[in-house]
This record gives sequence, C-alpha cells and structure tokens, in this order.
Amino acid sequence: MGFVAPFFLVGLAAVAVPIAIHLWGRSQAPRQPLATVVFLQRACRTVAPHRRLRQWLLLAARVAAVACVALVLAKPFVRMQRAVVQLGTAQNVVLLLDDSLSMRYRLDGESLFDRAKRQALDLVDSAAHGVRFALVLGAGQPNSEWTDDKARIRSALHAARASARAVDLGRAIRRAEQRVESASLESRVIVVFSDGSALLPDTKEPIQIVDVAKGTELPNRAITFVTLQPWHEGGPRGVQVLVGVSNFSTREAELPIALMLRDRLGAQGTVRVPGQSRTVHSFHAVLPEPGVFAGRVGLPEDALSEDDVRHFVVQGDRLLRVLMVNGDPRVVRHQDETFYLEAALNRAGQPQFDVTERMADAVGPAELQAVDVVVLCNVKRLGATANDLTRFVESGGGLLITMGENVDLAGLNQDLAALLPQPLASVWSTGSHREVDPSVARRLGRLEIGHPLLAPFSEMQGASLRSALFWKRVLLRPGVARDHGSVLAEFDDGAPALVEAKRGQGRVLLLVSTIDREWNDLPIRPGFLPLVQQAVRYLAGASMGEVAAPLLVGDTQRLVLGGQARRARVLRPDGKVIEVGVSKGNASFSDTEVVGTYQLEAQGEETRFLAVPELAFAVNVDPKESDLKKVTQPNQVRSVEKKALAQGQHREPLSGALAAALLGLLLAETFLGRRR
Amino acid sequence: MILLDPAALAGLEGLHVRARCVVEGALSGLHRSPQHGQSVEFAEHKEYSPGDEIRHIDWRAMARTDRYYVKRFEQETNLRAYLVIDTSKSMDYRGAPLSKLQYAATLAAALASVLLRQQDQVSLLACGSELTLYLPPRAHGGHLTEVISALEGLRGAGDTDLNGAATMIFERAKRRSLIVVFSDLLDMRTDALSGFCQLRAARHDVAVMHLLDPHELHLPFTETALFEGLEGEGHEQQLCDPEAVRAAYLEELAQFLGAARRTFTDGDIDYRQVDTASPPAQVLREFLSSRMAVRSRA
Repeated sequence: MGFVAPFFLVGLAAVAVPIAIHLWGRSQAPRQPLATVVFLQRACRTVAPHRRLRQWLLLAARVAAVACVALVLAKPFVRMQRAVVQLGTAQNVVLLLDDSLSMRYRLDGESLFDRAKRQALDLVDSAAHGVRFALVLGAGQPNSEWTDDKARIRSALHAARASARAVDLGRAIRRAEQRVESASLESRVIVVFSDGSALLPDTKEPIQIVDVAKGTELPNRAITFVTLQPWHEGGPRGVQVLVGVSNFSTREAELPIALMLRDRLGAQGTVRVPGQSRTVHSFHAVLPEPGVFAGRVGLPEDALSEDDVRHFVVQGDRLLRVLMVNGDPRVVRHQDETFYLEAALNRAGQPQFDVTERMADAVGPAELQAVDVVVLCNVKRLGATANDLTRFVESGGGLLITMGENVDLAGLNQDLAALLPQPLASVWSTGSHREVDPSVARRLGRLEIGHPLLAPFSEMQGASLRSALFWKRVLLRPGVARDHGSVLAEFDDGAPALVEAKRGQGRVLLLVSTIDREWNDLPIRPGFLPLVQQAVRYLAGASMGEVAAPLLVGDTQRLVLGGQARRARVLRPDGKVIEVGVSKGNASFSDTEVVGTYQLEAQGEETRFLAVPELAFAVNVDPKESDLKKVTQPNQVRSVEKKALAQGQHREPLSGALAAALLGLLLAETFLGRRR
Repeated sequence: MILLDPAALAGLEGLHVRARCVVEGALSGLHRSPQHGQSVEFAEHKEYSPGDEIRHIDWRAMARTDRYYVKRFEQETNLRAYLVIDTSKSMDYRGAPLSKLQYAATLAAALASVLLRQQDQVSLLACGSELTLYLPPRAHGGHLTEVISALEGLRGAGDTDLNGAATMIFERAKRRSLIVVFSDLLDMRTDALSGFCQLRAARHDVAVMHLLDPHELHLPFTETALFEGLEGEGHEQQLCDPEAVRAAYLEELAQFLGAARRTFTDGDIDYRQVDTASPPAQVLREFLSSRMAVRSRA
C-alpha cells in the first residue's frame, strides 16, 4: 500500500487523544459524597459487564475514527498487478492468446499461459456491457465465435490449454485480423497476450500487447538437438550421441546430463554451458542388441521442462539409402562426377549407406520412394522430375545439390524454386584451369560448428576443410526472408559455401561448388569423407541410423507400411492408441501433440496387430520456443501498449472505503455514546 | 397555617425558632381528641396556675377547700419520652436544604416542645459510634432550652451504633415510655436495632423516623462522578455514571427500605420513612395524629 500525501500520517498520533481523555476523565471525575454509596456499588456490579463492554467499544470506535481521518487525508492506495489495456471506444475485441510451448514457462509457480488467461479474464470482467469478444489461440484451435456474453467467453478462456507447439504468432494475428475485418477500425482492437519472445508482423490493425511476464527475464536451458553417428571403437553397434545444449540465461550453467536407452541409463555426465551460448556434449554408448531403440537425453527440469529432454529412435544396423543423380557421367571412373562421393559413402568395412546411381531423366517417384537422400551431382536441369523431387523433400526426404559446369543456373532456379535455399546467381572463377595459384583461390572461412551437421567435426577435421582450395564456385542471390536458408559454411570472403534450408518435413543442402575435383580439391582433403557422410545422415533426418527424422510437435508422420498392411494403429507416449487409415500400404499420422516416442502396430493377413519397430518415431518440441528473450516489437504498436509491455501498475484508491468506514464509526460512536 | 418547607425553615435562624414554627404548623391542623383527658384515670390534684385548663378545675375540691385545684390524669403526668438522635457521619449529608441531622434536630426539638408543653418528660440521647449525649428526662420549663441547645450542638461523626442508647434507656426507663429514634439506618449492623426491639418487647412505645435525603432516595445526579461514602473504614468509593445505574440503584435501595420496614413492622415498632425534603411540620403532624389515634383506640 502507498500514500499520495504521507505527511498526513502524522495525524495518526491523534489516536492518543481519545485514550488520554478516557484515562484523564477517570482521574478528573468530580467527587460526590453520598451516604448510600453501598447501594451504588451493588448497582454498578449488576450493570458493570455491559457497561464495560460498551465503554471499550466506544473507546475503540473513537480511536478508529481518529485514525480514519488521518488515513483519508493521506490518500492511501494499493497497486493492482493487472494488465493495463486501454479498450477506449473498442466494441469488438479479439483476444489472442499465445499458446505456444514457451508459454508453459512457469514463473512464480504459475505458467505464463495461466497468467495470460487470468489477465484476459480480468479484461473481460472489466469491459463495459455490450463489448463483443472473440478468442483466437496461437496454435489455431479452437477459436470461439463473436459473443457479448461474458460467461461464454469466460468459459472459452477457462477451456483453453497451452500447446507444446511452436506458434507463428504472425499467422495467428492474421487470423485475428480476419475476425475483425468486418468491424470498423475505430471500434476494433486485437489484444495479444504473450511472453514477448515472438516478433509480431507489421500490420495496420490496432494491436495491444500484454507481456504476461511483465518484462521479467526468463532464463532457460534446453536440449536443442540430438544427432547420432557411428562410434567405430564401439563396434558395429557403437553409437556416438551428440547433444546440443543451449543456455538462454546470462549465467553459466553446469548441469548433469543423462542418456537413456529403452528407459535404462546408458550414460551420464556433466555439461558446462556459458551464458547465452550453446555447447555440444558427446556420449558414447553401445547398443546392447540389434534392433530399434527408443532413447532420450535429459537435463534437470527447469521452468520450461518440456525442452529439457529430447527423444530419438535409433536402429543400430540400419543402412541409409542414397540416390546419386549423376549429371556428368564419364567413362573414366575417377573422372566421373560421383566417383569421390561414392567412395566416401561406400567406405569398406563400415557399410552404412546403400548407394544407387541414376541419370536425371531416370529418376521417378518409384526411385524416390526407395531412398532417404538424393544427391544432385552437376545436374543441368530436372524437368518433370522437379515436382517429384519437391514432393519427396517436403514429405521428409533429404536433398544435396552440388554444382558443376553442366548446371543451368537459371533453369535450376526455375526447376527447384521451391527447394533451393537461395537462388543461384552467377559463377565465380579465378581461372579456367583446375590448377590455380593457391593465393588466388578461395578457402572456407567460418564454419557453423554448433550445427548438428558440423558438430561432430573435430578441430583437425575442421582445419582440414579450411585447407581446401576453391577456384570456382556459384555465387548466390539473397532469398525471400521467409524462405531464406541458413549458412553453415562461408568462404573466407564471406560468400556462402554450404547453405541449408528446411522444406516441409525434409531438408535441402546446397554446396556452391562441385562434389568432385572439377572446381575444388575438397575431395582429397581428410575432411571430405566425414563431411559427406554427416551431410547424408543429417539430410536423412539424423545421423547414424535414426529410423526416421524426429518430428516436431504438430508435424505429420508419413508411414510406409507396405502392401500387406490392412490396418495400423499408433501408440502415443501417453498410452493413447489411435487407429490410422491405410491406403495402398501408406498412412499418415498427425496427432503428434505429445512429446515422446510413438510406436506403430500393423495388421496384415493375420488377425492380430503386430509391432513394427522400424516405423517407430520420436516427437520433440521445436527448439525455437526455448529462447524466451524479449524482442523489440514493430513500431505500429501504440505507445500506450508499449507501456503495457512493462505491465504498468494500476493504483486503486482506498479513500472512499476509508471515508465510508469513518462514517460508520461516527454512527457507532453516536449510538454507543448515547445515554439510556 | 402555612407549613414551612425545609428550604424556608433553613432560612430561619436558630433551632428554637424553627422548632416553634414546626410545632405551630403541626398543631394547627391537628384535631384534639374528644377523649383527650376524659377517659383516662384521675391521678392527682394540682394547684391551679395560670394556663391550666379551666375545665379541669376540680370544683368539688374548691368547694371543700375554697382553693382552685386542677385534675391531672394518668397519661398527662406519666409520659416520658426518650428522643434518640443518630449522630453518625452519614447524618451530616446535606442534599436537601437541611442535612439529615439538622432535620432530625428540628423534628426532635419540635416534638420535645410539644411534649414539654404537655408537661411530659423529655430525654435526649445522641449516639454515633457510641453514646455522646444524654439528657435525663425532665419536664420543667427550662428543659426545652437545654434540649434545643444540645440539639444545636450535635455534629455528625463516626459510624452508626444505636445499641448504646437502647441499653441506656433500658436501664433507666422503669415504666412505659415513648422512644423516638431519628436515624438514616445506614451502615448499621444487623443487630443494631435489636435493643429497640427489646424495648418494644418491654412494652415501651418505640417509633423510628427513618430519615433519607432526596439525593439518596432519587439519585438525581447526571454526571459521572466518584461517589464517596461517609462512613466505614477507608470510605467506600465508586466511579460511575449515575444515569446508567439509577434503575439498579433504586432497586437496591427499595430492597433496603423494604427490609427495614418489615423488620420494624414485625417488631411492632412504629416505622416512618421520612424524606428530608418534606416539611417537618407535616411529618410531626402525621406522627402526632397517629399517636392520638393509637391513644383513642387504647
């Protein structure tokens, strides 16, 4: 509680006056002789209990009344921790609740989503009669209809639950815009309840933002990726598990970390992560037997516990299927475009890849269905195959695009417009001959070692990559912001060398030079083999033999059951069993709201369901939701709303209540002080 | 004849004057009993002196002796009255114009005047915590002056204990006498009046004038005060709002008065409750009337 005029609190000392009068009055009572005082004493004993209580109540009323006068003059108030939302003349209010994973962050014992609901309920309760509300959830479902019935909107708010998804708040705002577009601009407003970690798009709509975290920093630690690769020293079932751990707080963290395989402890250790940085921790384990293993890596739970664990499914003896599309076949083997690539993938004694080769015009849906990764090696154009390839990638396949003399930059830009991380611009060359002055050739500079693809690289391997010479490469044009890829490796002049993009459920890697020695000497560098193998593993959805690419919450899993399957059902991590429709041996499953490992059972000729372990898959949260750093909002947000971001405090005056109490006390004093 | 109220009486200088006014006021309304001096026994002759009743002249004796003699009857010659004044401290309380002690003295002086006028003997005793004054019974003309002088000198002090007076009377009164007690009966022990009950049992005529000040009777105070007693060790005190306790106080007082009335009535003692705000002459008149009525019944 605070006071506008605290000086008047000095008046509280006046409460001593009625007490002093009471005490002084007793001592200053006039003396009156009376012979019959004995009867007076008996009479007083009879009426004393009631009189005494009445006297005490009267004294208390007078003391309280004096105190009330002083307090009223001091103008007390209490600070109400409510969101300051100015509805103004708005009659149509869309309540947009960010129900993404980050809103499950627990602050002061309460999730941010529950706070958002509470503040939205406050807003509804405080709104004038007749204001219409609609509820939009960031994840998309469910949204309520327009209503001016406060009970209905309250019910919808109470029923809302935070999801485990990453939410595109911009799309949610666009959905909200569609709800209000029928209302006049002056009478509509969108109120967004969020944690402030999502950048809102530019919009002409009047938007008010409520930061439910009140500007508080939200430190968080998370496991952002898990990648597996063979651990040769461990034998055929040896596995190296690389775990990306990010620390989104300012303080260094030293955390225990554990690897579980089939719910048994496989390995454990400690990871130290400096503030605002990422570290890769490595486990080595040996799978006890052939087959599929569900595993997970976990940190101690923090305020956002869902990102402290990451699930995976691994098969120790699975081969990744790779299709090499040869755009420049040669009779002389070592001059062939795919010579070095095939050699790297078919390393003797360690069969991990099932490699096939086709020409570009021989690639069709059947071929694409049978592989995990496609590598385009100096392919001129794709023609009709481009559509099949696009569908392949978007449904989870991996694509590595390499350059060469045959590549038609404009044609490939057109064929792979939906897949290229960035459009191809022009060819840069130091000269026309493969032998070139090293001082003129370009080398690799920055490598994104923290990326799962490059994380396994040792320092020596990284140095080996940087030693490669490039005398010819393709320069890239900047892409559209939404589709822009991420650069995993740059040249020493800053130009992109290896760019990645996620397309649908698959990934695309673009190497701006050749996969053979035509434009560079990378194939003869020691780092070439691990780079190629890791790139293929990464494009296949993980590394060593992950059965399938781990999904994110909300993604759809494509299930290739085979022609024998008649029925199939999925066992969710929470125990729920969901039957899926099977069509020509294929099925898709999209009920992936729960994090964990999903098992599949199929029914063919036999009458009972049988487990299909190789079709198990893992679902994890999107690591983007783990960074709760506040971002600056666009300028169209009104200044009033910017104040709301800091969660301004509302002063509730108490003078009125105290004045009413004073009036009551004076009436009580009058009643108690009257003579009967 | 106007009955002077205590306020008017208080303005009169001297008990002698006040007593005379009271007597005149009392007797003026008092009807003489038609049987006064007629049905009682002849006791003796007395030589006529001016002022004696003409009708009491014994003409036979005059014929025999050629001298005027008046008859004296039994009750005219044998009445002996003991007036007992309570001089405890509480009798000094003044709420009315006259304190209870002054009122008692005025009443006693008036009664003594009436009795002495009738040639009755009057004795005066003053008693607080102990007997402080005793005037033997006398009937001569100057005795009234002695009585009045003694009454004027009375001052309230100490507690109340009338048994000393009762004992004195019991020892001295050999024949039936009239005993009138003037007291407020406050702070009395339960056996304080047992002596007078014994006197009544010994066929004496006992009357109690229970004097109470109007303040004591009505508790007219309105302001909170520290009320202090006048008797008892350490003097009892009570701080209270009289408005709040008046009803309970009057109830307690009524119980006390009722108990006193029952005690004296059961003991066949003439009990009279006297408000010292009422005119003493009226009180005396009523007392004398009742005496005369008793005599006529006897």
